[in-house]
Amino acid sequence: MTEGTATHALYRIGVRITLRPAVLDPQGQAIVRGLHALDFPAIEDVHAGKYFRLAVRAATLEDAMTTASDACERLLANPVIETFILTPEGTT
Amino acid sequence: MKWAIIAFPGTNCEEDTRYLLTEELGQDARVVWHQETRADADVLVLPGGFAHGDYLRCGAIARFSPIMTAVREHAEGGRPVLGICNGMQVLTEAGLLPGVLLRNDSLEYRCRWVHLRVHAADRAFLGDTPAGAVLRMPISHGEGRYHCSPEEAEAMLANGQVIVRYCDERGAVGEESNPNGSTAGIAGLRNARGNVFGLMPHPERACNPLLGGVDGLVIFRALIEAMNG
Repeated sequence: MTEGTATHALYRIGVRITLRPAVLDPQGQAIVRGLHALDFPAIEDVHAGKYFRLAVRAATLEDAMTTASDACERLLANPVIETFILTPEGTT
Repeated sequence: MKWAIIAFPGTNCEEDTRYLLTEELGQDARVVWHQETRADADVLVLPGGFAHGDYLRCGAIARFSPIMTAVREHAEGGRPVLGICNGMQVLTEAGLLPGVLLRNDSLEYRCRWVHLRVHAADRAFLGDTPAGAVLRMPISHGEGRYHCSPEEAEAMLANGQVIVRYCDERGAVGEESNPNGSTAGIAGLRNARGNVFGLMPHPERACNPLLGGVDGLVIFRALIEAMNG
């Protein structure tokens, strides 16, 4: 923690990363096949992705979301193949 | 000439590559740990393995290792960089090569010999090997499915950036001979400038008859010739 952030809250931000629609998702397809084999014919499609929960020290939720978004663009997601969605999940 | 072989935590082909370069080809080659900040070599090789455990995405964490600043400067200076397997994955994540490598379409790790059709002759990386030649090398990867948009693939097939494509033993490119679902069967490509080459097959494992083949030598010999030029 850097000086001046002592009063900042710790925001929990959920990060959901999924493949862009044009990118083949063999993992999702394999899961669909498995579900069908287990007699879940109603589940017609599955998209596999990644989930992270970040704990971001920030003055406001908006600042925390901006930091999380920057982190996604620079490392957590690869924009060539992935998109991300951020969801506030409370403070601690 | 001097070679630097960049090793990250989890890299596992650096000694094979060093052996080939020093013992078989008489080169001055050393392994450079990723925490170093200088490579001081004519050619940089990013070898195979699982840099940083391939966590997050293969190559994604390696891109932030201290040595990568030197790799980027080397590449931007127009000097040769060769990325093999995981090394290619690192180069794509670092933006030094276009596209990205994804999980094989079979979801299975593929470890076998493949045939590669030389799509475009490339003096720097293949010497005088002509377009249409068929090379044989092993692959060993779970995430080797090269992905880019169809438009990018078409452009790179047309402009000579795609250097080798998976093919059958007669040189025919097709779905049957594509081991991982790569876009357009792309197995190896270079950047637009022509000094950074990445390929998923392992040329260093095809450099001695005892290993089952010698076709990988064309790449290393081409680099030696180009530098001695």
